[in-house]
Amino acid sequence: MRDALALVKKISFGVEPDRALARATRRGREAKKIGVVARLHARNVAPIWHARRVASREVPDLLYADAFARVDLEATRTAFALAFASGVAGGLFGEALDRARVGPSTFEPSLFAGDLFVTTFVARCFRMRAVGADAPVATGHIVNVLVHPPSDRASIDFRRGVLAELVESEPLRQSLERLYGLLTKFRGLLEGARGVGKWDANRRQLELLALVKEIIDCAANGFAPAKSGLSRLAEYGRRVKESEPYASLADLLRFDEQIATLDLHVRVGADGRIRGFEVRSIKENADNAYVTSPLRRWLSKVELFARGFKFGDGEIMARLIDAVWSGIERDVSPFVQLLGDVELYLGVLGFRDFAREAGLDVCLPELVAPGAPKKIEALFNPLLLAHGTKPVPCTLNADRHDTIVLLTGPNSGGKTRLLQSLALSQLLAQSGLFVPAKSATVALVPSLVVSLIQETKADQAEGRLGMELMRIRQLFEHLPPGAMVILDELCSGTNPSEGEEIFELVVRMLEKLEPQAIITTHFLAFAARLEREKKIAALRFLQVVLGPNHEPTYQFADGVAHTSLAGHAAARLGVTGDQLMALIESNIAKSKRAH
Amino acid sequence: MATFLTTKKMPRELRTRIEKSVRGDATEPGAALSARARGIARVVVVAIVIGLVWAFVVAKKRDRKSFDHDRAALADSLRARAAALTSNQRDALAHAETILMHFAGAYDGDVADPDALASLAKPAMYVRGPIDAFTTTRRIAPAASSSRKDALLACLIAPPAGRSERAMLSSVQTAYAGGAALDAKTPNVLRLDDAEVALPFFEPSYAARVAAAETEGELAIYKREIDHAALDRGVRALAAEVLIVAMDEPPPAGGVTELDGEKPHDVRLAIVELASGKYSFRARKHVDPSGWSEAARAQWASGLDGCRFAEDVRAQMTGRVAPSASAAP
Repeated sequence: MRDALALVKKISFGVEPDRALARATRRGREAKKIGVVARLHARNVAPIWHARRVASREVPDLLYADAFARVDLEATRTAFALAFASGVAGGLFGEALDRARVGPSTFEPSLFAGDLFVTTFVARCFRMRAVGADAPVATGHIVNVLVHPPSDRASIDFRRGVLAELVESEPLRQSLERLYGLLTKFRGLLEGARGVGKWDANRRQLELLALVKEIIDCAANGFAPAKSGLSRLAEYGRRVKESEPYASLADLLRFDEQIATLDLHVRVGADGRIRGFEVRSIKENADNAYVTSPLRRWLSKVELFARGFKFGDGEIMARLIDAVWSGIERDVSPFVQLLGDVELYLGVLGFRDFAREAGLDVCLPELVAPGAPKKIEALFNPLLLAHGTKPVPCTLNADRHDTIVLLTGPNSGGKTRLLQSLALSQLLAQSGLFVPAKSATVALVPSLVVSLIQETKADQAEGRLGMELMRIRQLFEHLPPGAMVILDELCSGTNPSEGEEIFELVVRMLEKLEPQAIITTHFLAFAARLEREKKIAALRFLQVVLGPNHEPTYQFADGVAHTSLAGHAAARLGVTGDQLMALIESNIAKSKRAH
Repeated sequence: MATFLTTKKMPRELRTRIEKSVRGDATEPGAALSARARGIARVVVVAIVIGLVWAFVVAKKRDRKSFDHDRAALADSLRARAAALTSNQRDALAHAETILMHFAGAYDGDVADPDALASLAKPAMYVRGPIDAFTTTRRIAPAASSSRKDALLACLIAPPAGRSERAMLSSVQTAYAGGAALDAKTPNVLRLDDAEVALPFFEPSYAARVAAAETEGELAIYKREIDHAALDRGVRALAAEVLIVAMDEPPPAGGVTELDGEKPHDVRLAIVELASGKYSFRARKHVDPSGWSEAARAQWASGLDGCRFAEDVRAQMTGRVAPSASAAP
């Protein structure tokens, strides 16, 4: 490992990127010998080099309206060069994607990601369809994109346009899946995961170059009809196909496949056995730029030997491959970002498929102004779906989005699940992706704060009330106007009378920020009072709808619940007087027997 | 900066990127060298390797040229020597072997031409050995190989100052010492073995084998063989006019054997003209070491017997002494 790092430093420090890249290319085989993995290089060179800004047109960015390179293309290009030469670059794509930048976002992931189980949601719900299913999905990259929704409306619309087109056009989706399959194949071969060509570097590199060509062809041809952001793939493919490096690449692959044509006649005897061969003609593929005379090929070998290379046909091919790769590598380095983007869209489409298989539906919500009526039809909690429980969809209607909703109802009535569903829907909508509802309206917000779980920590300085108060303080520290606030059981850690006071203070203060707030509480009397007094204009009240036998229906209606049905919950969980007494008597009897 | 990887059909931007891709312009962390420095190092290494290979190839070519030259020179030298041999020289060894096999047979009695003594001054080949070693051509070469210039030859060519033991012992010791002193005493005489060894090198097949040598090692072996063969002596041996041969007949069973193996036995000596096969001299004499002093006999018995035999032969040649009574047929 020390040798590996030394090599990386020698290659990288104090030299210009182009020169270091040239060195890295030449050093590929040696790197392989001493076990350098390209990801090491990528990790070290990023801070050393000033990444060169690449014109946005060079990167087929599928996530942002204003395309840009989110992956350090220079570092990736160097890492690719090493991996291409050595065949050892485990984790190159994954690490590059994990470090990928995202576009401008006003969301702070620490304020919601943990409580929403975003990583679990992505890992379990973003399911790839068939192709590339065996490839490792860069969950970290998808989560990173998801928790940083773009702050510009154009990017949201850009993504919605891509998804809408993919849903509408099955051929485009198939092209995207084929592109993904090719990219994962390229990734596997480049990172050495497939072990192909382990003993023949030229063969492996030619296979990689063939994959590069296929990927570019797929981009150029498969997305030609696209009207949305997918058209960037076609534009990228066309641009590369029209370039000299692509033509040289295609020629080299043809040269590898067909240096000459041999017209061979085989004589077969009456017994069916081959009696002889006759070569009628040999025609060299003279049109190919790489085809040379046998004498020139021999002189090439001598020349390479004199220049310090090996003597052999393989070395000639190695030099040609190197020259072709160095020409095309600038167009290949965006593959990392492209793979991440394609993976996101296919993951989202997989989420849609997953929901539909469960009889649920997802949609691209209608984006409306905060004052517009709120309508969500068949909203479901995807986390329940991810864990194998079929969620019960619900429908919500409100006169506007920018209200403070107090949600009341019995325990285990679905309040917390509703909060998760609403927060995830907001997050997905802000990211330009499908929301877990048949139809929905969403008003975009500048920030999202979710506080659902208050775990006791070993190092916490305050008691439960203290922690609650700190939570409130932090909320107001980070909350911009118009944000979405999701709070579960605010002020439940103290006596109701004092808790209600703080609760009311929080609600009054929140009103000044005009948020989209949803807060659950068991202070039923307090909520009822607020409903009666109507002193806070933005307040709305939502309650869990119970069935005829007071069982939860997981539906919600306007108003304040009259009971938390704690007794029902206690009975359901075996905490009635009779049940507890029976347990006590049983324990006493066991104790006597033991003595 | 152009590169072979680009083509005119490519867009300008792609060409620029390919050029950038193949250009190594910075030291990479953890790497000792930049791609450019690595490339330069590789070019230097390749240049050095190419230089070394080139130098190696040039050196190999030079060595090959030198090798071809040496090989051709050696083969030419052999061919030239072979060409210089007369027909008599070529046939000398065959004649000698024929004579030897004949002489090893039944003894035909003594011959002593008047000019026999003069024949000793002619270029001659000498061989001595047990008589059984000369009965077949296959045995002659080993016998010739083990035959050296000895006291008999020394005293025959350069007689001692007198017939006393003391006088003869001086000549015997000179003969036993061998080397230049003995050669100085017998300058006109070479060993039959010199001819035996040298003659195969003058065969065309040998020169052809040398000319076909493929490696330095192979050529070095041929050079070593030729050097070891002492071809100059061989040529001189083949040019000999007379053959001097001494054959030791088997000693009778029993009796005293001296410490050096000498026993009383008969010795045949012949001086034969190689060209005609004519015996200038032929004698058969008995040698017996028992007459020598105890001190001399222990170490020099064989040499003293040989020297006295030579003295007897010379005496017979000059007529000073009648044919030896020991020369019983």
